[in-house]
Amino acid sequence: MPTDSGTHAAPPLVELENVAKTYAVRQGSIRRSADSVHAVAGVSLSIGANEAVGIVGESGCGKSTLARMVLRLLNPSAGNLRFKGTEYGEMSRAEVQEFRSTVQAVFQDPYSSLNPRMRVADIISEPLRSTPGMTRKARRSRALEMLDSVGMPALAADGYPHQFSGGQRQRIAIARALVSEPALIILDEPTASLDVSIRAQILNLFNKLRQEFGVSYLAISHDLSMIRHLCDRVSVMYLGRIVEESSNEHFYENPLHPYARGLLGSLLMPLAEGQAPQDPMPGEPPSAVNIQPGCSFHPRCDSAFVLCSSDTPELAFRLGCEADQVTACHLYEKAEVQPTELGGRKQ
Amino acid sequence: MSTPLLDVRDLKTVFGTDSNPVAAVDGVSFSVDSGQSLGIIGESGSGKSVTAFSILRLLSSPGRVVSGSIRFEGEDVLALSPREMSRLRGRKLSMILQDPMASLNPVFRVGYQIEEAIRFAADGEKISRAQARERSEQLLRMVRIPEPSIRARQYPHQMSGGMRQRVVSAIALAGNPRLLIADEPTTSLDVTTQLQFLDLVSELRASLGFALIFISHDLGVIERVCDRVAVMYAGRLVESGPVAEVFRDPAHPYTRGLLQSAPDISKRVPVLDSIKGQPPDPRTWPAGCRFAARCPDQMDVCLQAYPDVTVVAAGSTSTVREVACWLHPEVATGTHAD
Repeated sequence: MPTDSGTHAAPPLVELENVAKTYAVRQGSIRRSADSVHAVAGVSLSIGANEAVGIVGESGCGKSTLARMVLRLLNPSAGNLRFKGTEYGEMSRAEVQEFRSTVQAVFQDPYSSLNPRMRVADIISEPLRSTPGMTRKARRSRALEMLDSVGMPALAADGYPHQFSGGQRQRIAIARALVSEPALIILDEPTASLDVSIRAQILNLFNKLRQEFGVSYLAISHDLSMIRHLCDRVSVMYLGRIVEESSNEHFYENPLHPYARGLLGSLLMPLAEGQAPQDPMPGEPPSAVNIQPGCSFHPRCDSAFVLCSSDTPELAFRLGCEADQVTACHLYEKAEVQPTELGGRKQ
Repeated sequence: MSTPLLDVRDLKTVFGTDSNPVAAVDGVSFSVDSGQSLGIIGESGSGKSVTAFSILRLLSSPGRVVSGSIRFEGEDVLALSPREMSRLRGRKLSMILQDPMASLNPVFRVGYQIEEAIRFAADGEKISRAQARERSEQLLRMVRIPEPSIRARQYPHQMSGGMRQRVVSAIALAGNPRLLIADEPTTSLDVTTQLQFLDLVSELRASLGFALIFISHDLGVIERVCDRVAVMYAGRLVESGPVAEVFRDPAHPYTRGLLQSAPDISKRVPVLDSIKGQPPDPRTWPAGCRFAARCPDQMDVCLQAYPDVTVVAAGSTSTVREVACWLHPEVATGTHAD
């Protein structure tokens, strides 16, 4: 479980504290900064060892920006990110090295994330090239091991990416992420480009790898059914903010925030016997330019009332929340007592 | 029985060279009645998009239809000259493709692009600028784009994905099509916008009365918009019938597998059901049933010969259920058909 830093000996793998990312919108011939986009507006999150955290939300909610900051591919505009207790900006060279082998990523599109001119074995073993004292032969045998653990035949090692289907390529990308024995893998929409039958195979693979290697996942997705079967905790993002956070069970069984309910209601499931089709949630995923005051969801919200357009609700334990749940909605009155399970979350 | 709006018989579309052909679609037959909506479901590589592109005659070389027939309103589509074909497309026969950004021209305002389609659909008839503008705003309003006069002056990049796909639909509907072919139009959309878009398509179909072929790999999407579903696997149709019946009681093991691998969110399970293995390689289709290698109900006969399409529940074009599986052989002799 996530714990407040300091109360336990081992800090979480990755910890985010009020992380924000703002982009300037430039306009006109002199490119003056006309506006700013608050892609991520103050997110706190922690991922512990052998824990799977899911972030769900529509496109443009900032979830991929968040993932890129966690991966150190982007610098935050504000807030702190820590890796095993060390600030991202204060890592030594050795720590950065350690970070890079500890935190890996699997991206959405296995067509563009694999170099078409490299053989599969070389793709998989490339992260090991910076490991001192590792021979070519040793790297190759590691690559073969990885192929085996993702359920691909050893024969695949000498093929090129174009010879494989989307599901197979995604397995190759997963093998590459696993080869440096990471503790955390960032999954950015890892099943979005896959077919239904293959998607189930890949999800099973993620769960199997978690049991075998004890890796943690930070899964970014709008696919709520994937998150259901993969993650222990779920955070719902809307316009750069987390609007609800809870355990897997309580997110799916007791969603509170109207946006969380809307997202779950938009999910199309076959064989909903006798179930009346849901009405779609109104409105478009909004743009993060010119965010209106108040709750960012209120223009789309059926239950919005006066307070919603003036006052931003904070993410907090509220009446109606389960012990491991926090939500940011005025419909639920803030409760006095902070549950212990959340360990004094800051926000 | 009246002739269906679209009738596809034994369609075979191949890629590759003459000496080494690869049959992406290998003997597919189905028909769509006026106003009906047919969902074609299948995994990537099953031939569902190639089927659509064959009907539209938009296959790019080396893809070509080598046998079979495609009749649209009784007319042989494959016999039309390229000129006649392009008169059909964008008018009676229209399409929406997967990626709206690729369907729209980034350097023209969306209003101009809709007007272009309106002028094309008018077939040489003179349309004034004001008329075209009015009609394009009307189309934008029809696909529920708020403030159409402002939106028409915007470029595609200024719109969200859902909005762009609605612009593409407005263009597709400019010619009052009788048949709209939508190839995975919601794949690039969010779940929330997807649902809005699907309901919009259903409403437009109800009000304008066009028939729809909706291609998707998502069972839930097909269920939401279609009356009938055809399941494709490895270049063949393995099952077809009314959506509700097929999903409730699938006759083909592949359909059953698909339904089982759609994750259920009502509870968390450690291991999801999945169909084992991979679809076969189109360069070397197996001799027997193409699903046999992955099939839990595999029998000897499955490996030897491809099962014929048999009627499991007789009915009209909208109610008939057909399946191609050796588990349903009793009607193969034709005794069951009425």
